[in-house]
Amino acid sequence: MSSISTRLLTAFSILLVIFLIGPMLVLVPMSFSSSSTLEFPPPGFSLQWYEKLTTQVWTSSAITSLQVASLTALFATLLGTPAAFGLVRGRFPGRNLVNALILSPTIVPLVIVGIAMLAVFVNLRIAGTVPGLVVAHTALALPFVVINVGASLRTMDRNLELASMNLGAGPLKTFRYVTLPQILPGVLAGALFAFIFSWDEIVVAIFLTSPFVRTLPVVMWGQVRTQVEPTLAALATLLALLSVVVFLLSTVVQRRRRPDGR
Amino acid sequence: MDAKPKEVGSGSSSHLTLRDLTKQFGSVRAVDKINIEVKGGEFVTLLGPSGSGKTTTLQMIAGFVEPTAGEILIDEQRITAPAYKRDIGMVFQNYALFPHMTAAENVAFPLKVRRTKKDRMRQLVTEALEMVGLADRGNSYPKQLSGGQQQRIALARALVFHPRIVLLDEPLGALDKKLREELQLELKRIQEQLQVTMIYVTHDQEEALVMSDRIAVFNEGRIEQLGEAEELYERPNSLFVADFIGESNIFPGRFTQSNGRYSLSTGNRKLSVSEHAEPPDEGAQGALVVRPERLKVMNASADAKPTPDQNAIQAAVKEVIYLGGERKYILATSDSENLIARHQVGIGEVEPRPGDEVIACWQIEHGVVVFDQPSRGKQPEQEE
Repeated sequence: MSSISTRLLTAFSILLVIFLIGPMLVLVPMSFSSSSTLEFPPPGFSLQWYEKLTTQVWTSSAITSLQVASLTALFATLLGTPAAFGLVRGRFPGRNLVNALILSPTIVPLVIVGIAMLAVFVNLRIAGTVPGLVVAHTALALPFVVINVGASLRTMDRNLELASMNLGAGPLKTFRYVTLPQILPGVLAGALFAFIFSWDEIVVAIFLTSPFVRTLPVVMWGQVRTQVEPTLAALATLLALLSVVVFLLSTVVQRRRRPDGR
Repeated sequence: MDAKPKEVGSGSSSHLTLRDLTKQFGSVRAVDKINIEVKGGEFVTLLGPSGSGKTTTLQMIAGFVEPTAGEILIDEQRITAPAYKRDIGMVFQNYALFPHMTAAENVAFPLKVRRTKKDRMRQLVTEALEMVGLADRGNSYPKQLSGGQQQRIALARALVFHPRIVLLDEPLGALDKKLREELQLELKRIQEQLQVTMIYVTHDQEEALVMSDRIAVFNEGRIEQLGEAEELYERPNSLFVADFIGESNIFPGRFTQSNGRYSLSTGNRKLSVSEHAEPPDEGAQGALVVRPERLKVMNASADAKPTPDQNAIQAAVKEVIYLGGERKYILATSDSENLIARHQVGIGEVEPRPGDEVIACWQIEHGVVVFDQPSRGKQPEQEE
């Protein structure tokens, strides 16, 4: 019985992987195409599209994306971690309401958020700027940090904090030496999710970018609509490669933490 | 293990006073006007069933729980400081070792937050690890240590900074019996060596008897009796204590007096009460408590007769349980009460067998008189 179900599971998993990753793999050969349109299979080999990625429109938007994503990860973590503490540890009226509000970006359609933020940000004169994007993405990425840190906090043994206090560490030292190291995996996961969210977020970014400040996904979107060049395939290949590297790195980091049994 | 610690914990033998200490959780009074004096260097156990307030008392001493009323004094000084300024060590039941630190880093933690100098810190940590016999495991992480080793590290960590008092909250509760007994003796040895004041919480009466200088028996938020192990066992002052500590034969009834002699009417029998007992009020409700090893079981057919200074009850042997050094008899009386007796094995007397008609008797002065306490009503479980 187990052999049949195991085989079925294997077959299903393979199909799932092909379905998820197949379309992306098509982009890789197209990125090395000698043709100037996206066609499959490519007629010949060329690195020209990778060269074209070094032009200013791509590099400047990549830098903008990097800035926005890094700052988003930073602020979402700095705001989300204390928020998670309040929501997990605090006992105050309206706690569930605050929780729902913080998590609401995960259910409100991004189009609506984009329109609303544009309307407000224009008045604040931060529409079309890096700070504007950071503010928007921070609000939207907050749930990732709150959920991840909250989960770490809930599973943490409260006696560790009591023990720390008992041994002479005040609230700050207890947080620094005991609580933070315990919830660090959750904090890092939250920060990573926030970064990735901002890095490939396009809906809100379309509303909040200007011709001078554009993130990578917004430029890609523009290119698809105007000229369907294999540059896009080259960029997509690089980004996919980057994701794989990040994933491998995080796996290695997790392995390294093993000795302490976590 | 045999290295003599020179520094760790030495010279810290503060004495502790709890004065009318009270904790109210909503409508439940978890701790109700507790009073204890603990001398410097004394080992006092708070013993009681779960929900009796012993852990809450410990948490108030540690500073984790704010008392509703009453005060805590260490060396005559009233303590209200937050937990991290109290200089009280604590050992938790689940060890509470920091998983991201090695054993040595765990032990060094209280020194690190006190900004102890590096080389002094290293010396103290080494001594503390030697004291608990784990000098070679300093670089291990808690998960790489066994439960007993983790608890030893936790003990070293609670002692290394010379705390004024050490609190232990069922520290051996998660360990198996053999290891528990081994650690009991070791803990007691360390406590005597360092002369450090220890407050120990447990619900295991055997553990309390083995380790404590004095035991406070908790029940429903109050101390029923505070005294040395022998005192609690031989002269319990309430039915609760008699029942909770060791095994007992309890004869409830009403005290009566005739010709200056007291006796207890229980069912349709009259039991004599020792002249040395505190004279009960005429008609007072109470009980006679007789320990199993005080109860002598004789075959009814044999010509052995109870003497006038003995109480005697006829019964039948229901069960004989062989316990190695002794035999335990479970007897049934005509009123179908169960009595328990314990005899040393091998003194050569004829040993009764199941089904035998026997006479169970005891010296009158071995019957302990306890009076009914005014009922306080049951409280819901609060602790743990």
